[in-house]
This record gives sequence, structure tokens and C-alpha cells, in this order.
Amino acid sequence: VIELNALEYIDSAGLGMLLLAREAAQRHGRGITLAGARDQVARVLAVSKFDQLFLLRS
Amino acid sequence: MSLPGEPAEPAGEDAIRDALRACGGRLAEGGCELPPDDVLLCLALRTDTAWRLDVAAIVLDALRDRVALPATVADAIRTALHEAIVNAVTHGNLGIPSTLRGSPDGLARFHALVDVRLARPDLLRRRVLVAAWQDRPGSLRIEVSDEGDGFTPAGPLGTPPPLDQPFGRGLGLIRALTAECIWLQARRTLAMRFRLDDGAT
Repeated sequence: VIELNALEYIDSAGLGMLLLAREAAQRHGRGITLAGARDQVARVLAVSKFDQLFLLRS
Repeated sequence: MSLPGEPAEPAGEDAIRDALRACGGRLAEGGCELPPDDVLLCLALRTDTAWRLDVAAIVLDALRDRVALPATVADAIRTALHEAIVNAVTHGNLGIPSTLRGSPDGLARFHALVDVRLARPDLLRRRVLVAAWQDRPGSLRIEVSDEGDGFTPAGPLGTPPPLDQPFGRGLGLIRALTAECIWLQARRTLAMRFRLDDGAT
């Protein structure tokens, strides 16, 4: 689980890092949950359709 | 004081904020050409300054002094403008491909290459131009231009990369956050339009 509650801003480089973490987790048969995204972070995850790649938890 | 042929001292954040807050709303950093006249705001920065500072946040604050922006619109402007400036610096003026960001090792090489290229006076002098116009009721046009010569967006603008591709996501993000987004190759300019009503993006 990656806790995003304290994150105020994310850009495409940050999205890329989350995707690299997802790739690494998948190599070990695991998935990643993104928790607590809010405001700009939640909006960017939504327009990037990350709900199709990660478990998103409020 | 700089020597002949050397870049002038880079502009600081406070000086940029003061210039944008002033009536004219414009700043051309040393060695940069003056921007056009008919703008709401205009900023011409050296490449190293555009990389060092959070220019999108600075410009957004200056825009908020002039235009009422709902929170979601302000978020969209900051995010899209940041992506456009990072693209102008890294892929435009510094000529570094985004594909390096496709792995953790590549990411480290990407940032090392940024440092190497920013050490070249010919590249750091290239400018990034940010200009904003309120040329239609209910919308804002913001353009970001670079002076690079290598990389141009591949394929139709805004064509999204595969959903799980860890690099090259900036343009897709810009496309999703703007009402309109056009790459003007002749001027090496990304022209973005934002609707100012809430939920516009």
C-alpha cells in the first residue's frame, strides 16, 4: 500500500514512478494499492485512468 | 557580473514574482528576447532557470492576481503548464528523449543527462517562453515555446501512450486537462486553452 494522503501534487514523472513500482511488484506476483489520494493527486490519477491499473482506496 | 559571452546571472524567484505582479506582467531574463506585447502575462526564461524553479506555480499565482480561477481549473493549469515546461526544457531545449524514463536505471541516466546538458552554455541560454492571453470570454490561452531542434511530439498530439507506460505521459496529461491543445511546429509552441468555468477540464 502506498499512502498518498500527505501528497499535495503529482506530475507525469510521479505517475511514471508509481508505474515502475507496479512493474516491480508484478514481478513478485504482487499488486499495489494507492490509498488516500486527494485534490490534485486524485484528479490526476483519475484522468490517467489509474483505477484500471491499481487498487485505489480513499 | 558576467564576462562577455558568459550567461548573465540567472533570475531569482522573487524577481520573477515581482515582475509578473507588476502592471506589465512580463519578464525577459538576461539574454532572452522580449516577449510579445498583447499578453496577460509573459515570461522568457533561460533553460536552467525554467528547470530550477517551479515556474508553473509562479505563473499560476500571477494569473490568480488577474483572473478568478476555480480550484479545479487552477489545478489543471498548474499541472498542464508544469508538464509543458518540463517537456520544453528536457525534450525541447536539452534534446533528451522521454524513453529513458522507462526504467529505474534509465530514470537515473535521464537526470544525470539533464545535469550534463545544463552545464553547456549554448543549451542553458536557450529560452523557454510562457505567455498567457485572455483572448476569449470564459477561457484562457497559455502557450509554452522552446528553442530546441531535436525532438517533436511523435504522432497526433494527445494520442495516449499505453495505460501502463511509465514514460511519455506528459502530453496525454495535458490533453486530458485542457479544453484544446495544439502543437505548432513552426514556432515550437504548445498552445493550450483552458475554460474558466468549474469542471471545464
